[in-house]
Amino acid sequence: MQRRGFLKFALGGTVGLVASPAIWTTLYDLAYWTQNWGWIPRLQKGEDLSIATVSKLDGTPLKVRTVDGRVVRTNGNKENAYSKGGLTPLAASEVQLLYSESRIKRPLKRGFDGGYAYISWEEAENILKEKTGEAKGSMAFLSADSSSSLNDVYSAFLAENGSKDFFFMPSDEQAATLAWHALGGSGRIGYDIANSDCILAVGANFLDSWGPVAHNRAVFNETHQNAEDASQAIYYAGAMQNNTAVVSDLWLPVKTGTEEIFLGAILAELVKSAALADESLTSLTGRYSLEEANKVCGTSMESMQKLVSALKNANRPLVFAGTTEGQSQGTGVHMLAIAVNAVLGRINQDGGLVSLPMDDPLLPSAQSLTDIFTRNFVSFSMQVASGAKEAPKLLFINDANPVYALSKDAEVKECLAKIDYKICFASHFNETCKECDLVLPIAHGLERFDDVYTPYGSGNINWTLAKPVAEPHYQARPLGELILALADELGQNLGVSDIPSLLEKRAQALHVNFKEYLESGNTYQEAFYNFTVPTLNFMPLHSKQAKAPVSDIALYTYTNAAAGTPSTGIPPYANRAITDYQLQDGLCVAQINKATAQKLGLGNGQKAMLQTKNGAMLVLVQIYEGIMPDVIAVMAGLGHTEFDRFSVGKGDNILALTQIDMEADSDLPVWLNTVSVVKG
Amino acid sequence: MSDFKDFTVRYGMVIDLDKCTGCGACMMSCQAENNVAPQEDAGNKLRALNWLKVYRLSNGKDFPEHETVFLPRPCMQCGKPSCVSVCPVVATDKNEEGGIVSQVTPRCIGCRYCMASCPYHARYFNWFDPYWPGDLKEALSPDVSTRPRGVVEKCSFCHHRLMKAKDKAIANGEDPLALPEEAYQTACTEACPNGAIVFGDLNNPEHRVYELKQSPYAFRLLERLGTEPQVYYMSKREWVRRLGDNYLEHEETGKPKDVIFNKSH
Repeated sequence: MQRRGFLKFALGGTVGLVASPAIWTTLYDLAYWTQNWGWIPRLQKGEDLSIATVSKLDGTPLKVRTVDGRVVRTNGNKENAYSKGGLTPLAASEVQLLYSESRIKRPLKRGFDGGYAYISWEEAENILKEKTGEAKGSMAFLSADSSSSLNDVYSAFLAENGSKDFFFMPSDEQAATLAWHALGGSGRIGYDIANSDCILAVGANFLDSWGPVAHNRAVFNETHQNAEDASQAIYYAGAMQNNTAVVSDLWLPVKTGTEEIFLGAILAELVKSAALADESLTSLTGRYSLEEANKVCGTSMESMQKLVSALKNANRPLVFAGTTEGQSQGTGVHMLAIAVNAVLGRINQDGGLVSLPMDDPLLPSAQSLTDIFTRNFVSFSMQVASGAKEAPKLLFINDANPVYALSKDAEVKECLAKIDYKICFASHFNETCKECDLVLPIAHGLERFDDVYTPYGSGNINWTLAKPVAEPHYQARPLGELILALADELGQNLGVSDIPSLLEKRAQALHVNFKEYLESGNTYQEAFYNFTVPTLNFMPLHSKQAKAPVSDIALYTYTNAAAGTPSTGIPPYANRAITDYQLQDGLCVAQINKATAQKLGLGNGQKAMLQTKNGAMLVLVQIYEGIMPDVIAVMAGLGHTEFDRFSVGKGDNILALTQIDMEADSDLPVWLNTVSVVKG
Repeated sequence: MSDFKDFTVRYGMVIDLDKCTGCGACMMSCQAENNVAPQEDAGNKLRALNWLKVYRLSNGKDFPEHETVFLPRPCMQCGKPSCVSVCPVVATDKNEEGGIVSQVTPRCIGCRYCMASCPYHARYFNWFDPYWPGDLKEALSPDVSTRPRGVVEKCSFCHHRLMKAKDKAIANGEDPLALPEEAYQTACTEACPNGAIVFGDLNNPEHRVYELKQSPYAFRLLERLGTEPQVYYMSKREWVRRLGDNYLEHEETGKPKDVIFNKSH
């Protein structure tokens, strides 16, 4: 070889090697195999503290571990008598949500091009002040959390600015409260699960995602000692063997959407054998029967008789109804559940359906829950979208995600388009933020003062305080303090100077020591005392028309608490808890049983298309015999387009596809089970 | 398979499957406690890594006779661990009071023999670089080292908690081999709101697991393989116990057939 040839070869070889990934891959692998792992995070030690607070996601009392000021873990609070130290999957995810990539880091303002630009808090505060001043008398506020005393600040602020349009997202709580009041009940409706010896839960997944879950499960633990006979019987009625059904004594398959007929049949059977003088109840018996229930709901005579007999023979039976989180079946199903409790003599009894006091608001111009529940956001949204109601000039949205969580029938996007200015307060950038003009980062539940006051499903008045375990990350601010400061700027006095003072007002109303509960993280529990049986009038039930299934195949949407909420997205660690019968190859999995599969001509692993008038969704079919015939089950919580890498690109959003209808007398939305299934 | 290794203290679990709702709180707590890196696509079950995994079991019958049970599966910490004898670099061993099968990740060469030999699929290969995007690494616990790509991981019964409990006992002048039940609990046990997981010293009559493991409803997974797992399960449903060791239809389990749960429709 000549000199020139050698140089060409050497140069070419060098360039080739440097350009190829061989050297770098080898070096990279060498780092692994020689275990020089500089790229692995080094553990940081420091002062190790355990701080008591409560999860604002589902009310689980917590002990939060911090190390050198970093929030490291949420643990259950063993000293808390309400939860007995249990930890729900959602509460276990709090820390990962705190540090999530989807946290909004700075205020965002939509520009003329439709994109967002970071702005300073000073500018954001000026916009808040300016827009609030301009919109006086034409504002609305949507909040996702009905258990927080801070709602008093928000509704008082709204009232001071000339509006009463304060809304919560749709819920069982609203439907049950309206049903309770329509029948003549007063105050809050409660369920004394802890003292009941026989529970019938109709659709309410109360051991996973309905009511005060940590408390419900602590009760389950106590009443179901290992290897011993249980001291509480659980009957679950629903279309699928879900988390509650798998540990219940009897699962009663009930086609989704037929719960009223099911409860009506039980009511009719119980009324037959009860010596009742109440004409408004006895005259209902002709409307329902076990035979009809078996035909429409898919139940069997044997299981229905077994259930009726169990309810009759139990000492302290309790019946309640519920739906997938964030949905509702209207007031009818709750009225029937109340009627069944009344026939069993279980209203205002230990372990029964209880009437809890509805407290006066803590601030002079704040609205009571009773007032707030008379309005519903879905109705508001549809009316604004259609032009039947004048759109407000300004809308505040507090950590709610209606664009994702509500059906397309609710026309949320169309409603938002008609509102002049939308301000979204959120910890994480969600689908609703994307539709708003100003997005403001608010403190996560572990970064702020807040509380959980008698969440829906409680059997007594109870209260747990939340306090910041760390300073707000990035530029997040606590919303309560922000609204108080805004009111102050506008020259309005809401009646409280800061949020701890507001919470102290709650402590005073309950006659408890604020500092003691703040420090310990204990849950204050008021003993139930109202044993007066109210006089109820069941005539409103007569005007109800029980709904029959509207399609051959009924859609059943269910939630998995581990998979987060519409406001959180899927928490990073929850990806492992989402199973291959919920999500596979990026597609939602629809579960049906063999009989349904044969009827539809589908097989395991095949693709199918779910269609409603709101659109279509491609799913993978999986055969599961823990679901009743003619029902197709799909998990809600997938199909996010915002949040972070752990939420995006995973299936489709079944909640948007679901159809809703409005209940005639209450004007509440009722989620329908309508769907058609074709081969994909 | 290794010889049976007995110890004065043998930590174990009794998991009551009739109390498990399959919520996944144990899985979430386990990840947070042990610095398991989150996975963007944990839907890929062939590549996902779980120290503790909840399985859905079926009695195999059609509707309406069908029953479902959820089964949380940690490492079984076998008395005769098949993983230990196959490890060429002694990265996994069972040599300490408490009977916990260790996994020394800096020693692991990623050959995955242990994964092949484990009948419980309790071991997982770390296919990906551990990555805590954004500020997620702020939430890392100072107790458990993070592991690199290319090694095998598994449940350690939160061994760091045992070390802390023993240190505390020694500092207090107490016997570290006679810890009270509440002194050392795994993260999954503490998290379970249903009390489905009971944890303690299987040899200590003062610990609940001592009694529970002798229940007629108690069984171990693939017990007839002879691996002597230190994790027991419990169910009043006979089909669950039969499934636990793949009993054939004609085979007797030697345990009661009572089906206390009556799910007829």
